[in-house]
Amino acid sequence: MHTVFKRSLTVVVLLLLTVASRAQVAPAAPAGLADVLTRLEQRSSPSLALNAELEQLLRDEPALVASVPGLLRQGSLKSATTDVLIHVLEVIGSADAQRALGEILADPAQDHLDRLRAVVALGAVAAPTGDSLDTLWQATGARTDPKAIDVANTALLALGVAGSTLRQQSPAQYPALREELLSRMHGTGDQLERTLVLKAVGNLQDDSVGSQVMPFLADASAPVRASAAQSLGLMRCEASAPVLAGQLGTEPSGAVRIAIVTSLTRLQGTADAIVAVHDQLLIDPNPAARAVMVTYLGEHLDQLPAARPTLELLMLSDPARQVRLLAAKALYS
Amino acid sequence: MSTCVRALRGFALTLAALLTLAAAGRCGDAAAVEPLMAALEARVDAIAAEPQPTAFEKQEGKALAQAFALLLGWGGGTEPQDLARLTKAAAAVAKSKTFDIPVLGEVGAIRDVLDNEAESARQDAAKVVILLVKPAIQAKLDKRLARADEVREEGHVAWPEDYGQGARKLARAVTLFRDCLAQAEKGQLKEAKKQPNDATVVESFLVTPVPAIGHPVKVTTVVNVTQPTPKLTVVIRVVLKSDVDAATDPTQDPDAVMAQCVLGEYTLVDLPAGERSDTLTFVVPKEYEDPNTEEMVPLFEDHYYLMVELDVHDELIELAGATSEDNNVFIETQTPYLLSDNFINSPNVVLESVVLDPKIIYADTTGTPAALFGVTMTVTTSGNDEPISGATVVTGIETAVTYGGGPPQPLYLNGQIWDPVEEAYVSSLQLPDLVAGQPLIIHLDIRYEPPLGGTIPQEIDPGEFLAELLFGISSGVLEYEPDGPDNSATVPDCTYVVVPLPECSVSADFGKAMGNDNFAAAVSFASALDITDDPSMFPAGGMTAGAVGTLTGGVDVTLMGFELDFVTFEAVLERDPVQDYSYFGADLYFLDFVIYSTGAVDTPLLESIPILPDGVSFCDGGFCYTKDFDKSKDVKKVGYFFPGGVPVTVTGKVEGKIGFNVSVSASDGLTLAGGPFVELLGGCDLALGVCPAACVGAGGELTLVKDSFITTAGAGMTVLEEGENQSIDTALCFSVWNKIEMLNGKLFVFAQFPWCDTCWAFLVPYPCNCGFKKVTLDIIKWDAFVFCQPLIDEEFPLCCTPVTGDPICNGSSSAVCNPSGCPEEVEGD
Repeated sequence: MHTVFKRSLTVVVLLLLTVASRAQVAPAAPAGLADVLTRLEQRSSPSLALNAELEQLLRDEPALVASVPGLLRQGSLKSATTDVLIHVLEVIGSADAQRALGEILADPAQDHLDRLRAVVALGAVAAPTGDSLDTLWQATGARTDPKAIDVANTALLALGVAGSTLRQQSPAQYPALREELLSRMHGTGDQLERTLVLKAVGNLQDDSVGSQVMPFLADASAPVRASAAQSLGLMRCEASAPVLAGQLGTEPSGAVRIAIVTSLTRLQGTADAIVAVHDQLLIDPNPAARAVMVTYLGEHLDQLPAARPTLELLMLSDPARQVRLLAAKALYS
Repeated sequence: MSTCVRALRGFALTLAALLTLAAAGRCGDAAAVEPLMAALEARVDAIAAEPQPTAFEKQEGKALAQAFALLLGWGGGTEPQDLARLTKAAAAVAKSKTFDIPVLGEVGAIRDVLDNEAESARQDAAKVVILLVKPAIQAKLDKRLARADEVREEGHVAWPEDYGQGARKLARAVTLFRDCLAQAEKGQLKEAKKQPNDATVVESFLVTPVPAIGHPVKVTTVVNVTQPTPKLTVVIRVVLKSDVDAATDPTQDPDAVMAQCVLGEYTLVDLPAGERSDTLTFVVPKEYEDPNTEEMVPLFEDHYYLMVELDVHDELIELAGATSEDNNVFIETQTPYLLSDNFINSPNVVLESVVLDPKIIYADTTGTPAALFGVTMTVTTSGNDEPISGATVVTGIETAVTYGGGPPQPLYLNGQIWDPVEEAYVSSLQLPDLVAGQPLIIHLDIRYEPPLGGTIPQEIDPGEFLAELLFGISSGVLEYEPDGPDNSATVPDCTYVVVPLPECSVSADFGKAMGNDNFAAAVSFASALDITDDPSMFPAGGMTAGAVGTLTGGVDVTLMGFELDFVTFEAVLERDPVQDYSYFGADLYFLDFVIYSTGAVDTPLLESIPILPDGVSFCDGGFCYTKDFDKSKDVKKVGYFFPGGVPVTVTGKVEGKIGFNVSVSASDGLTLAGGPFVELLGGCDLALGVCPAACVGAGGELTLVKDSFITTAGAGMTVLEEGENQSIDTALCFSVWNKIEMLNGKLFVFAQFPWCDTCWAFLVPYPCNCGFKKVTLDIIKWDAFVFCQPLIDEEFPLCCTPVTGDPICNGSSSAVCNPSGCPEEVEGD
């Protein structure tokens, strides 16, 4: 109870200081913080030293962290300053800092860009707390308006990033998060949400879930197939290389073929994959897809010397200028 | 025999004994040392008996003290091969007036002990003792120590004050040696004994044929280490020949200090066992610190010897042999070099290097290179007191191409270089001021003019041709050129690739990389807009066609040797006017994570979607979409530096904002405006030590990269139907502006530590000019490269993509494209 009283008193004092300092500095901030914020507002260019000063101040006086959501909500700070404040909270990453980020992202009254920044920041803290994960999960369920959906989608990606952190640092917490994401991936009926969850699963960078993602390469929706391919590349699922390569020749969507080859570039170059890309390059009618394939072949030219004549032909005769230039670059870089 | 004559003879005996002893002791041969030792002891007794010693006898006393110190240390050797080496060395010393630097080094090590009473000095002395004293001769050493005790007592009691200096030093040495032996016996340095190493200079010589004061000289130095060595510092000096020669002349003042001038210091790391040769360039300074007056005095024209000192900071524990700890100084006395002062006021500007990576130039069939590209140029300057203003650089391409399948014909293209001050391409770029001793590393962004003022006989054949880039600098002043003309450089073996003119597609491609292993950024950007009849792009299927736009950009960061995909932006845009389908999707990656994803799809069913995606609105019969996103991110990595040999751990940081802004409209036609941006700063942190014991720090400011690409792409598309033929009348416009600033500023690390220069008196090195030395090492230093130009800004009223049958072109389409111009500030506040 005593601690609660002290915290309450601190908040009251900070609020009083906020009011008292409003007349002195542009941003209405607690004493100490106001000075740094004023200089952040007045800077003509970014300053690592100033950012570090702000970080040190918030580390030295943790009570100030709780005042940040309120400061942002006032809307009087420049976007560049609020960006720094949110980033510093991410770097500090304490439970208080995560709580403040959670407040920002969950508050519809906050600037939309700041909410998105807070989501990304909360997903990237060094040691996400259970409360932070709960906050992100709650955000993914609020799909009531365009901005809420934007926050929800970004929160899904952030959960993937947080999952990657937990996998390394807190293996006991990780399985629950992974299973929840996989469950959402299978269960959602919303195509757009499924594409985001697939990317979030890719962000886990856990190739053990690749077998659950691969079936989505056969989804009726091209964006879902593209996201599944992207996800497999992000998680470096080497086992998916033959599947991706096999689909390249039959995939009707050029956008999906682009995603497949882009993912193959993240994987080790297997002979089957390189040959599949080479064969498709000769017949692919999509210039953007050919551009990605040319780059891929250029990276594996030593494994498939037969691709050299193909690239030389494309360098001189492909109807797309970008493909010609990329072919030249692939041959001579 | 007069007193004077006796003293002279005695002195000569002592000197000869000293030199012979030096050679003998170097090999540690007890048998050879013993008679000389006896003779010296007799001289000590004789001098001690003199009631009024002469000046010569005083000097002899000093020499005797040194000789005793040598003997105390060496104590004799036991190996048969040592005897052969001893004989050879002794003969060489006797015949030659040049002195043997390894021997001097041994004396110097003893002097270090004599002049230091600190714990660290005794630690060093312990190493020397372990090196020189072998258990087998412990009894002899004890005898020497006992005798030294007697000398010490005599010195304190009977010898005159100014005469007894050597004896007192000797006495101190005895005490210190005993301490050191005790430490050694306690096993404190056993570990060091297990891994003996020995660093020696094999040879060192000047490569520059006409060395001149105030100008760079190339020095080749070959060193040898007997064990793999993590770090070895090397100091290169020049010493006046006459000083060195005088040091062996007994008629000269033995206390005279040798003038020496430091050319430079470098550190070799991760040396494998064996010899290693390095050729480095140092600037011969115009002045140096006089060891007598401690004032800066001009370095004058004369003959000098090259002097190399290894392991300056005594970081290596050398226990391999009897002399290894003390053989770190080398003077090449066979080859004196004349350092000329004829060119002391003449500058020398050298175009050291031009780097193009990859070495490829793309051009279209008119010969005009299709893309801008950049090179990194390094210019060094020496000799000038005042900066050289107004130096300029020019460039060109030389190649040979074919026309209509004919034989190769020469082709020369004049280059234009981006001038960040004038904000324009210029044929001759004025360089920043050239300051002596400060290399100018500058990035040049180049485009080449159409050949021959835009006229060529006919279109060049598509293909690949060998080419060479040429660069030349004009300093505008009369230069000293010791190695011949050095103001030009070439980049040979480039490939000049000629590709056909664009048809139904437009694209822009940009890549630039700058920095070093500590901090570097590589920016890449590509965008393309193609008209295609690929039905697979359009999910409605059927006989259809449309436009496909792609936009990718990214920054790879190198931080303390780690390569990181810091940020990547990918966007795809599609428009099928027949099926009235449009799609836009974009992903932003940070370190290979998707951190933000957005997009919009417009189908005939869009209006039935209950909630439009954020940023989407209906407009002009189609949809419009606008999105801005940015977020600060950072990465940190640890690096290790050695300013002045002091190990310093630095945490490097790259921090800044990544994001994009895009605006898309899709109705009859399609437009895309916007692109990615980054603004990254570099910094470094470290824990500061307490001065002066361990005073290190880091600082500086660096803009790593600040870049924003603004693409404005437009495709006007009108669906035409005539009978069975269906086609699209198209028009494209495409504009990409890039505003970039890279690597502006510097980051550095420094260390301040106690330091003494090495001075020389009577063949003996001793510490002088002691104080604190601050050494600063640049982690990265770079002059800004600032650029804001269109990568492409063109309109293409094309009719190029019939879907079936013959093209039907009536020019009914027009593309909406408002070139953006140079982007405003990256931050959109």
